[in-house]
Amino acid sequence: MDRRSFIKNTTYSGLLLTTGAYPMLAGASEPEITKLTILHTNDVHSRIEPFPMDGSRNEGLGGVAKRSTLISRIRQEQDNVLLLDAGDIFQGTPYFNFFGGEVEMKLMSELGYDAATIGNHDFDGGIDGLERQLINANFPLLISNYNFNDTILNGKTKPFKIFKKGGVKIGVFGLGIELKGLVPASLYKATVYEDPLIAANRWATYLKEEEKCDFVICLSHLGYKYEENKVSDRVLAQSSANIDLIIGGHTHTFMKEPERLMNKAGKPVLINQVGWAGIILGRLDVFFERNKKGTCITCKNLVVGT
Amino acid sequence: MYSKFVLILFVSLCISCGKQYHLADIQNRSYRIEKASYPVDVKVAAMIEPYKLQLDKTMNDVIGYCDEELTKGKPSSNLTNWFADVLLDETQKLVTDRLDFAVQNYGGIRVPVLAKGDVTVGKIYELMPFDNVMYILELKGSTVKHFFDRMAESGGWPVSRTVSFEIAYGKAKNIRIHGIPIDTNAVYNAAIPDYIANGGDNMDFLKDAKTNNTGALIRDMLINNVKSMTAAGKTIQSITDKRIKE
Repeated sequence: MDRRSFIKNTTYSGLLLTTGAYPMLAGASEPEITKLTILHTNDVHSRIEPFPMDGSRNEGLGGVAKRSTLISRIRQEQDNVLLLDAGDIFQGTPYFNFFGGEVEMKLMSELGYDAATIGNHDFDGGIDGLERQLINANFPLLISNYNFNDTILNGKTKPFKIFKKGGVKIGVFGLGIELKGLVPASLYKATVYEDPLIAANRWATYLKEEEKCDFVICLSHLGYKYEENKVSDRVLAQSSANIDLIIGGHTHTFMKEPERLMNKAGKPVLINQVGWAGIILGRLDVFFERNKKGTCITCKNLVVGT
Repeated sequence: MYSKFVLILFVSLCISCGKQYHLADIQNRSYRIEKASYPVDVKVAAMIEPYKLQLDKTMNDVIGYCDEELTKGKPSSNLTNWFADVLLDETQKLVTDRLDFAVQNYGGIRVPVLAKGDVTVGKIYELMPFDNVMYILELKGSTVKHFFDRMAESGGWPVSRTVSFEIAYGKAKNIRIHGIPIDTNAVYNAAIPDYIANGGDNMDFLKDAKTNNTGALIRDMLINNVKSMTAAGKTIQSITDKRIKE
């Protein structure tokens, strides 16, 4: 029996003990497993249609209408699905130049995105252009280190959102990259960039300790890693204390599999990023065992398998 | 009856209060969306359709004709020459002071080829998808020299026909502007896209220059130029002069 079907089976109460697969569990309380399916994209860059068939490397790949079918199929099979995006929704095809992000936001709403963060290119139509598109988004933009107090976006984004899926409490917060030097100031206007490591520590700790979230996800547009000394998802992971998963963007990194790093408390953090343009839909299945504090029968210390 | 209910509630609370969710495992299974991988969601396709029709109408609009395939290359090429010359000519139309040269960053030209044949609006969008605008910078000759050295270091950038230099050991040598050797003390008027003028592509030293924002989009300059050529009965020609030599 492979691991996936084992876990699927154990979600049905009582099955574990009757199969006799784990006889040492006899007498212990049976583990109650909840599965959370996280689907994610980043840097879709207005790629509404698949890449054109022009002989280029990416021809025929991606496309929102196909991604929608895929997501619907997964939702039919799975009870607890979260669909997230790590920013740079805008810019890259004439859909953005002509319609200012309307198509992107309407389609993401139709696909049922639960949340997204803001990438540098999401300011390409100006902060006013981004604000104008919020009416077309039925999901929140999560960003915890841009201070929008003196801008048109004041009060229109949130630092975090808490989701409850199958009894599991999931805290999601967002982080954005430094805009100075990357985006003309005339576009982001009075947006103040705040230290992402401080914001991350503050909100992740709040979500874990105050809100008692079982799982904390950071939607990050910081970038996976850099040669130079610059804050990235790898730096964030290692300096954090309460983040379980970083869903990244910006560097358009096609990661073969998520990277597992240790945080400053010696606990594992996963980083994942799925390239760009919606070529890949990321999927992570997270399994939670509900049991007494300190006891966990099926815990694997975060081994990432496929 | 009431006390029995309270008892049951108390017992069940006790069972749940000692429990918590432990992270047991994470499994990765991502999907690549290939051409024939999944059928299109017809509802989503129908949402896209009206935008697509409107876009196709504009994008497929033929605005000119290209006589010969233009190919992007270093240190200079017929595509980069054409691009930079258009920027010089179109920016010059906006100002009265004589411009000395125009520059485009090499990476800013997003496709390697402008094919022979009809030129559509869509092709110009492929060349220049960014909404970059044109700035005019007043640069001291010594700064221009520094700027061209940086271009030389990276193998050459698109520059207008008013510029020539040679790349020797990663530096710009024998720089001429309007055919005259560069004067490091003179002031030159340069048409430079905002991205570079604001320090993009490691051109930080340009940020201190006196700047005039024309507000004109680079892409619109290209489109307008092709349209005006067509209106004058002209086509896009291959310009092969080696303004930057190795």
